[in-house]
Amino acid sequence: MPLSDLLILLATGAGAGFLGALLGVGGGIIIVPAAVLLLGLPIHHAIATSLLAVIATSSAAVPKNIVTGLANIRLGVSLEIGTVLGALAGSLIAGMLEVSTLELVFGTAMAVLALPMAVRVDETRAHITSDGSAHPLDGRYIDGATGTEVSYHVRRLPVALSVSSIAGLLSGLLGVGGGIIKVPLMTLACGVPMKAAAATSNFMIGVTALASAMVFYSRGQVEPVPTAALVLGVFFGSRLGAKVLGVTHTRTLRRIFAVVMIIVGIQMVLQSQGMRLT
Amino acid sequence: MSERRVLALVMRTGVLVSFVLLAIGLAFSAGSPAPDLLTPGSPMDVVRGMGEGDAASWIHAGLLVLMLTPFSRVVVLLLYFGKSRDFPFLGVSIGVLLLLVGTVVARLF
Repeated sequence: MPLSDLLILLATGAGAGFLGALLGVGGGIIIVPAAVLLLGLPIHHAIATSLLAVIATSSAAVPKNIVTGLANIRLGVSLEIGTVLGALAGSLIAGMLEVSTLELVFGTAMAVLALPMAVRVDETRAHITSDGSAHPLDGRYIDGATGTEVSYHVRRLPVALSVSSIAGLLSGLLGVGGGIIKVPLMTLACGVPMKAAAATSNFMIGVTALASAMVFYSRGQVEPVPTAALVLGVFFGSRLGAKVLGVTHTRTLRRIFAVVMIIVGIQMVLQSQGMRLT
Repeated sequence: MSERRVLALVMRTGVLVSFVLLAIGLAFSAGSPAPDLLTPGSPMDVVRGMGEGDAASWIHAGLLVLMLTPFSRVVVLLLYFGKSRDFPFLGVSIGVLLLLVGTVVARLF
């Protein structure tokens, strides 16, 4: 592989890892279109590569968030049953779809999922408590941006479990982490503060992606060199993203990212029909 | 050591080992034709290939360690919930582990 391609892969992985860790989305929504549109990988191979990169994002970003308490371990474990079941179903369905159909599904899903990404998900929707956490699922952490302790109560777990299965399904089908659904879900429905939701999503997506990645790996759809280069880039980017997550405001970044998702989604839909924007 | 620190240590170790193996594999691949798609094989084949300086085998090993990292995280939490007699979360962790192991058995054997 030429050095220039290798550098593109490393940079793409670093960018995907950074945004994935910062926004709790895993980075697959960057890696799959980049692998298909820039590198010309078949979409099934791009999804396999992306799932392994999502595992890397999660594994590299999570340790810091586990130690600081930002990742809610019990909430993450509770939702994992739904996401893993959904991921297995999604990866099996993906294997039955033609390339053009899968590109069409991916492009449409990206454009639609840009909406929850752009929606204003902020701390005012979190169910902040003042009396500390009492329920096993409740969480507590020190907000790095303000230096104050935040305690919150988790609500509507059954709703979260149901929707998490859909997030898992999308993960297995499209090679994304599913955080793009899980983060707004945990914030809007469960009352989890945005930063804790992103950190908890990062905690979960590694196991969710693992379930699907094993299916793609067993089918022999992993391209070694592009995957290795992307994963190495992801390691760097996601560690940086996890550091920035505790001390930054992500609203503007989310909106810019939503616009990019819509454009890339349209590009993927066009590609599925044999057309290109550029 | 708290369960959070043990978890963080397990994941950091997995990331570090995977990183080193993938970097070596990528270095071996420089200037040589792109290796074929990875096909699941026995770990001994992977180790043998690593000994022969085969880039795909080093990358294969790195990706296997990468996949083992979240799997190890599930096992560590399961042990912690069992030790602390936290039965609801122990049950959930066992469920997740069975799904993952079931997938490996169903797809690879």
